[in-house]
Amino acid sequence: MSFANAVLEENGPESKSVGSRRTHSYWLLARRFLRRPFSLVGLVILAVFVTTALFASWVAPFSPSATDFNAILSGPSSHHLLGTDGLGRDVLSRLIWGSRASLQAGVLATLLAMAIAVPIGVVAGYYGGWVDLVIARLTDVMLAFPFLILAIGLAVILSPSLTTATLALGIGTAPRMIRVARGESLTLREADFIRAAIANSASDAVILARHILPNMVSTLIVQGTLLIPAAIIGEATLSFLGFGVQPPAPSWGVMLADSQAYLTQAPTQALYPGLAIFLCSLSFNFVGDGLREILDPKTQR
Amino acid sequence: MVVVLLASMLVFAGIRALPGSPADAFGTPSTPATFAFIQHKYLLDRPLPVQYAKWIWLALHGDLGVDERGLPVGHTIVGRIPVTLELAMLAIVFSTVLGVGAGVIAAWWQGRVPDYVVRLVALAGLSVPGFWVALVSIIVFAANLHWLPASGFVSLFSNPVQNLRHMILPSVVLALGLAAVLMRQTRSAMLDSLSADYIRTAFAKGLSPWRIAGSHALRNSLITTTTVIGLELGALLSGVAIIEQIFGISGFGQLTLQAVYDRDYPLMQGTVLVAATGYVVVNLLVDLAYSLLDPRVRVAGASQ
Repeated sequence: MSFANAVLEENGPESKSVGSRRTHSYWLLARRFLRRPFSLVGLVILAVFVTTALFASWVAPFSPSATDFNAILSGPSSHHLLGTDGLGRDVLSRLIWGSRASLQAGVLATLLAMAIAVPIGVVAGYYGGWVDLVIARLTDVMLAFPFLILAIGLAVILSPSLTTATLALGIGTAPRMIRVARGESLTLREADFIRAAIANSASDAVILARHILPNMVSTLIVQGTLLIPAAIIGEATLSFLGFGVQPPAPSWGVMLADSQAYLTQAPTQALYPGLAIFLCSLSFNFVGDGLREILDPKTQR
Repeated sequence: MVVVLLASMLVFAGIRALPGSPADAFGTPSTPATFAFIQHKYLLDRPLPVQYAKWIWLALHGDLGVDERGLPVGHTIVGRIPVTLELAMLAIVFSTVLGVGAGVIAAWWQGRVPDYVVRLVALAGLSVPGFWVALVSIIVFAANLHWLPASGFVSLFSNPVQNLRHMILPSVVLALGLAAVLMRQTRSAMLDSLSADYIRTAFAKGLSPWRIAGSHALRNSLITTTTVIGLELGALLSGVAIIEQIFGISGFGQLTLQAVYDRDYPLMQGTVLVAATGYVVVNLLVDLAYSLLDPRVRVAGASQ
């Protein structure tokens, strides 16, 4: 599963010119972001997805569970824009309602991963020594553990639902996030202004909260934005396998699982949900890539 | 070693944390007496560490116990591994050729059309769910074009051609996600090494671009690539499980999923232990590959 691959992107142990980021004005950054065509496209698609998800009850033409037995597996028509599924449910409406599960899982899982990983990673990187050694080892163990097994195990213990899938995705992604946070605080620790703070006898808590964390925010935002699409795909995969959202609730993964029964009669059933997942995660990736380009000094060569 | 031990403990504790005793799985008509007998026979009435010690001791001797259908777990797993190994190997080969090749192209023409095309394709590859690509490829190549079989598996030794026809679709689908990751890593590693002084020297010497890209820059970038392959192995294994499930290949991944679906605890423990061991072994191989690719590692190792 290519879940969480995104985090690994180009974040090796790299030295960064810390501190210069603050000098940019936010307007300048926003303009540089919007001038990149792909970032702009990503942002627009994303806005469409988020809006339709938020206002699903107004936007969707039908209820996601309303069945129409006069139109089963019907093709696109003016009545059902994208046709109907095997139970006569409107595909477009189910796609719109399904986007809620995907976005929710994507965003919440990422926030959870950060909430777990950032404190652990920062402490490991900042203090070093045996604390770091233990955390780094444990992170390796977590990484060795096939994520899917963890997710499925959780689903079996807590009964499968969107919540357990989100939990599993968050926990499963945390180790990679720990690595990122650890690497960042490891390099930041050596920065002159941190040494100055230590020389000024600032307490560890103050250094961590006032100096280290604010300086890794941009990296965390970039990594987070790139994690969301991975989590969205992860949610779809889990729901597809039956370990996430449970039918008849609408979810892109559930729709794909349903479509397997009609692969030869109605192949488009498998097309639309997949395209939705693809577009949604692609737009997040575009936005994340754009953010990295403008926030990461390393790419400004 | 530590990793394997910790992972196995994690699984063991995790599985025992599941509701119900494994003894329940032996069927419903278990009277309290039989229940107690099974509990005792499988040491389930003993403390957890004792159970764990017994299990790991036997596992070290190649005995992973018996699954809930009474078949030896070790034997079942060993029978399933070759298929999965073939699938994974093919996927790694495909993704390396694709990912490294595209990464080199992108880095060489940085900021120009090939770079943008390759990066866009890689981003698309990261955004597409593997199991969906699998479904679509079955629809296109198997259901409509009838070029390749949709599911099933034929042993490599009984019919190599048929085997390849069955394996090509799953392994290519599996390779796509990994290729995207590899491409991005190779590209940034190549950009790093292309800006090094020795590359300028190589250009000044008048070496051909092929030699510069191939033997100077790429060789140094391959270290990153090798690390990534090692790191992505856990993800690859998850991917293998789903791909095997969709394409109906009865390999190790499908066995693992099946063990979970059936709540077959001994089988679950066995598969995860084997998976963790495999992960560690491959990372060891990755470490060995470093010394082939990077003379500095060899020197450091020798001086110790």
